[in-house]
Amino acid sequence: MANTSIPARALDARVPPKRASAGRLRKLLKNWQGVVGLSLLALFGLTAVLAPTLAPADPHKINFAHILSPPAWTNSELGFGILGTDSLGRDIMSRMLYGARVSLLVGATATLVGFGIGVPLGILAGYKGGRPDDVIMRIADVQSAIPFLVLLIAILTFIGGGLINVVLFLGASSWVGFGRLVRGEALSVRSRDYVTAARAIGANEIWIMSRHVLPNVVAPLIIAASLSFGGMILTESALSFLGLGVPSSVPTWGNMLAESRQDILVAFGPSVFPGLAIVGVVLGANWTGDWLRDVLDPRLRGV
Amino acid sequence: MTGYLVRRLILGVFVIIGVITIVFALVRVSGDPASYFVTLDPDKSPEDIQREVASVRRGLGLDRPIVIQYAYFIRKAVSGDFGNSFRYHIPATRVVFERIPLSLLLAGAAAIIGVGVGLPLGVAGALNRRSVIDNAATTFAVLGLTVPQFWLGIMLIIVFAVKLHLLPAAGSHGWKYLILPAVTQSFGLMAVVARMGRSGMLEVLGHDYIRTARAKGLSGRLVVTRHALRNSLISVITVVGSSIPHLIGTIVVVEVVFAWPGLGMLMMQSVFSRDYPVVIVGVLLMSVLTVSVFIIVDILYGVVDPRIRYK
Repeated sequence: MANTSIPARALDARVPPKRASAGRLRKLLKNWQGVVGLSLLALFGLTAVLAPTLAPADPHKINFAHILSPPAWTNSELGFGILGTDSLGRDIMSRMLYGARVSLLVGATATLVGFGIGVPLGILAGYKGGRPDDVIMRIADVQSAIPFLVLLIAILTFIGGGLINVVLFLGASSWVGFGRLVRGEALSVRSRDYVTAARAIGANEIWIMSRHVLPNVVAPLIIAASLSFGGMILTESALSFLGLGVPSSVPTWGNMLAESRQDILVAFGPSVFPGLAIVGVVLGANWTGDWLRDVLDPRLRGV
Repeated sequence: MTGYLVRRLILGVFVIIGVITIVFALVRVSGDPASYFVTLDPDKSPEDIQREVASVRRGLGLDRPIVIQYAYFIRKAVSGDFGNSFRYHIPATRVVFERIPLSLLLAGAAAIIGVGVGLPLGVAGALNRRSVIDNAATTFAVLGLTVPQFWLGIMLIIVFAVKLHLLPAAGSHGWKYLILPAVTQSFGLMAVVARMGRSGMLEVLGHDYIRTARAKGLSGRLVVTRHALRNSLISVITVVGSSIPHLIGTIVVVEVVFAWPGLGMLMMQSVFSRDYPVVIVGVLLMSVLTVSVFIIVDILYGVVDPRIRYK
């Protein structure tokens, strides 16, 4: 196939799009992990968007009359939160709904930042080869050998936390995965006939990279992004738990867990539910990633 | 092999230079570094503080060009001399080094549990595909990627310390205190080892030399231990090696959850008490530890797989 003169796009075009999507849908439904993963992501996405409407109470409202009340199903005196209240009497359900906004926002934007750094660098390294490749990949080697959480602690200590810093640093820490992925693919694409042909007719390099190299890496990139999304949410919650991430005034799942530790002897609700939310959304992202891998890139199955 | 190791050593040196550079930049960007090294003691008069700041600035070479300052910083880093800890009033290096054994104990116990449970689980899963064990192995692998370790730690405290009163929740006053933190820290490793052990084993079992080994009449056990396991270990070591920076990061979180007085706990306390010398030494030391473990893993490769000649 490598020697045929038919460009890759034309090959794709020969597959009738309708049948392909029907096949994918059937494949999706057969793969329960994909269904559950996508549903989880959709559920958390919806709760994040609709948090102000869905939240039964103001997430910041302190109510000392009802501190640490247990979840509704174990509570005889109903009406103080479906999932109970925390040590300041704030409604856990509402705080978790607003927390979903922060987690998903951080996960998505940090992934985008990593994507935005890694993809251009990876294409540059793989397509250009030589010196740029050496420099970029050595930087990647060095960076991936650094214990990043430890470095993040130093960075956030000296420069400070806050939402924007957390997003930028998480993103900068994750570019290596995207970069390596894109580089490998670009490396294998650059000697293909259609790239030579494009070069022969005088296409400039940016055009070649964006129109001929990039489309080849879209599938693995989408998979990597969905897996990275889950990882970013996990790291953000760990940073917030340590008190280095999002300011503690903002209700996030990590912050809620950090606050719950002092009440661990008295009430389990504040420690259990935010963690379940983290597990749910990360599981959703990972299963969606696995499913995308099966559908988009069968070569990678079982990796 | 030596050539390869030399290259890895050079990479390690670059990693440490990279970390030193980042820390240097952080200290410079975040304001006057002298202010980190002078404590604002209420007993001191303003003049004393002025004089102290001036002497620290001179000592740090802040009146010199930035390149000289950088060289100065590297020299300090190599000699490990970043002055006294603000909290303990002894050299920061000594404060940090005192905590290393406890962290190593925790990491070592976690590594033993992680590999000791994860590897048999993965191998057993691969040998009995689609059995209960296999399902357990794959479930473990998924959970290890999705459950935040600090939350797992809190849940273990609730179950084993608060509810069942079996194990202590925090501190380190004996082997009982090690169990919960070690299990928590091992969880991620266990998942990775189980997953890679399983897929590595499955891949190896399909090879011709396994069939040959069976054909020449070796017992099933011998085929698995001598031929299959050893070869499947390569992928396990690769993945464990690449997850080391992550594992060293999670140890900070686990130590905080269980108030385990190791390096990570010390780092976090120093962050919040603004004990900058200790933070700097801690970050550098953890990077050195990471690089050392990387190189040990590289050597392990050669032991496990003699085919690797490190071109």
